[in-house]
Amino acid sequence: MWQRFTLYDLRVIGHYLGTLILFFAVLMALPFATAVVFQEWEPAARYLVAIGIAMVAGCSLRFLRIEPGRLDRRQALAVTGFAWVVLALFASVPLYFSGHYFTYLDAVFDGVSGLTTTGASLIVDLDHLSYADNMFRFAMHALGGLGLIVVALSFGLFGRGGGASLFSSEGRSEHVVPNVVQTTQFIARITFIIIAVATVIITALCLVMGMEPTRAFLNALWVSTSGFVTGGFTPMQLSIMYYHSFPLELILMVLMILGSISFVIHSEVWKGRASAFFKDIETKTMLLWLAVMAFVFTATLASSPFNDILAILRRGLFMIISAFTTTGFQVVTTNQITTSFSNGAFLTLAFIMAVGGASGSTAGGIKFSRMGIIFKSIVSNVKEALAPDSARVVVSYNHVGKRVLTPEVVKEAMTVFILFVITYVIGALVGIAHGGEAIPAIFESVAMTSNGGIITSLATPGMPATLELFYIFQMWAGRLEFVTLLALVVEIVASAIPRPRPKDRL
Amino acid sequence: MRRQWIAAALAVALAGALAVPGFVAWADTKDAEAATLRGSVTNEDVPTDDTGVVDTAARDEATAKKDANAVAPDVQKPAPAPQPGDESESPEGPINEDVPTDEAGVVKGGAEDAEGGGDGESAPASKPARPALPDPVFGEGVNEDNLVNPQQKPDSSFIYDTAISALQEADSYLNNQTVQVTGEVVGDRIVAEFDPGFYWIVLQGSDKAHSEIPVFMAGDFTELIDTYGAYGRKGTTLQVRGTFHLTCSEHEGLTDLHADAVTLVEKGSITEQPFDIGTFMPGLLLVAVGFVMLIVFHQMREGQR
Repeated sequence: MWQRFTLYDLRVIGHYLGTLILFFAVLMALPFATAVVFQEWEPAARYLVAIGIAMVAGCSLRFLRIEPGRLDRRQALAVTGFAWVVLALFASVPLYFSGHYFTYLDAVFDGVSGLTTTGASLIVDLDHLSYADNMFRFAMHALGGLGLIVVALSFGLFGRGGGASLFSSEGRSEHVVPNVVQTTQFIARITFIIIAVATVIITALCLVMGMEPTRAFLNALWVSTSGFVTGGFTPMQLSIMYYHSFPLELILMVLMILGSISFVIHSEVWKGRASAFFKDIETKTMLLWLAVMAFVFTATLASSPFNDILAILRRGLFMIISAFTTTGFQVVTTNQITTSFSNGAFLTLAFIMAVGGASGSTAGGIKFSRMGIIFKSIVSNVKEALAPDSARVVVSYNHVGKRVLTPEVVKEAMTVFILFVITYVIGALVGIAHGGEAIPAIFESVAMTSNGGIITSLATPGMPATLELFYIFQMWAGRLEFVTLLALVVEIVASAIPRPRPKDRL
Repeated sequence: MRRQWIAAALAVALAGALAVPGFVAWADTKDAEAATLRGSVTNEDVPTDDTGVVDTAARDEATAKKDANAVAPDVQKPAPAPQPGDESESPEGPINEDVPTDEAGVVKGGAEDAEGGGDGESAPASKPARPALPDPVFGEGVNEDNLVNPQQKPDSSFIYDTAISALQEADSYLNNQTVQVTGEVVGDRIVAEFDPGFYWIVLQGSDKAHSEIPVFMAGDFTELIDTYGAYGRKGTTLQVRGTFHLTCSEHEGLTDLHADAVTLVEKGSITEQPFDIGTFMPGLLLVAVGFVMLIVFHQMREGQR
């Protein structure tokens, strides 16, 4: 019943993975160049070694199949699924040898967190990190936020074979334009423009704050990148609190919201059809969801030290936006989340992260479109219950055009929703089994699976290896939205089980 | 028999000589001590209220009465040797009962000089000089400005000498408390957006997790900082005393430390990184091997087409 991977499949998968690893080696030239410019010779030597290792490994894998041919759907699933973890392993090499990680697994965790744009970091003494290492962290965010496959396709790395399969297996179901390569190029272009504009504005703000020009530019570039791709890494250990600037927080809130909107909607607005944004089911779901959760969050904060209206507006609103866009920026300390926030506020933030942003964007979580479809399905069921037996109930929704709610669409939404919830629960149980309190364990599990990245007390440097491995799995699964990963796991297991011997015929 | 009678007579004569006052010097000491003790204030003489707390006013009055009845004016102990800084003390040296105190029993500094100017409670001109008893702990050098009054009430001026890591994990018990921490200045000096003349700096602890705390301080204090910590730079180490806020009401709920006093502990330093081609050799070798493999791969692919 289950198809197995053949040796030919493995060689093709190896070839394309090698191509991605070679591309990653080119990406590492960016931190190498940064190190040379700022005369950081130790990081420069380190990144040169990392580039060499990636080149040798990538070329070796490509030798498995000189002419790979066209990718079929199963091979594309495997390439996409493995790419995130394989590249994170190569990313951990220069990170670990920077001396800012307690264990090698912590460096792997940061590699996965960077590529999946979770934003949770186990780095130690971040404020003494070199410019080269910081540039690499944010380059990983940019690559992962856009999508490894998206970037590879936009550069034509996979030739003419299997682009559509790869694109959809990365969790992208929407084509901005009919041509996949043009879609990926559009996404890359819009990202570049928005980040460039934000960098200029934030650089000016940082100069006014009193920072040196170089540090102002680099900080602006990094937080703009992290904000738009809803990553969550920051160049300073205190996160966005470091800057003590309300205008900067305002700009970042806008950036995060832009990053959590579907690129299809960006394309429609770009073409002058702004009404598409307001009519979309995701926009309506987002506004309703945020209104309700903001009310609940404010009410839960009323009994805490954050009951001041200015504190709620500035810090509370920022945290809500950081949570729902699954960015992970913080303007309150981890200690404040666990001590000053009430349990209700704590859990409310977790719920907001759990749902996440829009599909087809850089945000994680269950996604607004699925929540909207599930809600519409409930409405459809109620209508069917009330309507006569002979009546045919049709429910429609607006998502870049009017669409009819079909059972297949509802099945897909419900499947992913249930898988997310199961993973949240299992992750919480794993956290509790490692000695964590229940609410922080739930919060941490949701942060990892939704790629939210706001961490509290469990995800700390040197945490138990089993917990760390499970969190890495959660980040990976959340980024791929489960189906790709589950399909990959089933294929691997089916391939590993020996084929039953045919019975001898007389 | 005759010798025994002579020995007995000599013993009686000796005893009689010892009994005569002034005949042997040390025989007079006991009387002198007895006389001194007769005139001194004992615990039973110190008046207290119902709870057992010393009633200072009544005590001083009782002391004055005792002084009036004091005996052996010719017996005086030598005054204690003057200690450095004790120039204001009288040669005889004050004792506890003569030191004026306020209602809480705390010693009033400088008030002892006014006492000689007309304080009605004691009359140093009329009363004989009191022998200064040596302090059992500090010996002859007792500074009346540093006397401890065990009856003093506690106040809230306690300073928590703590670490930045403790502030990062602080609960509400440290909120609005005066703390003192030491750490390295890292990052940048950020202008406080709504407080002209004030700046934000970040202080990093030396614990394993490198905990940090934002510090709000006046511009004058920032002049002490010569280096801001970053890659290759160790920042200035400062000791900061100020008020810790778990959720600062002035700064919209931020966890911060408002500095009242800043002291330079250690200046910063910059670590130079010399260029060494040897450290690049492994990377260059690997990249060269990678390029060779790329060329070979392309040759093989071209050959297959």
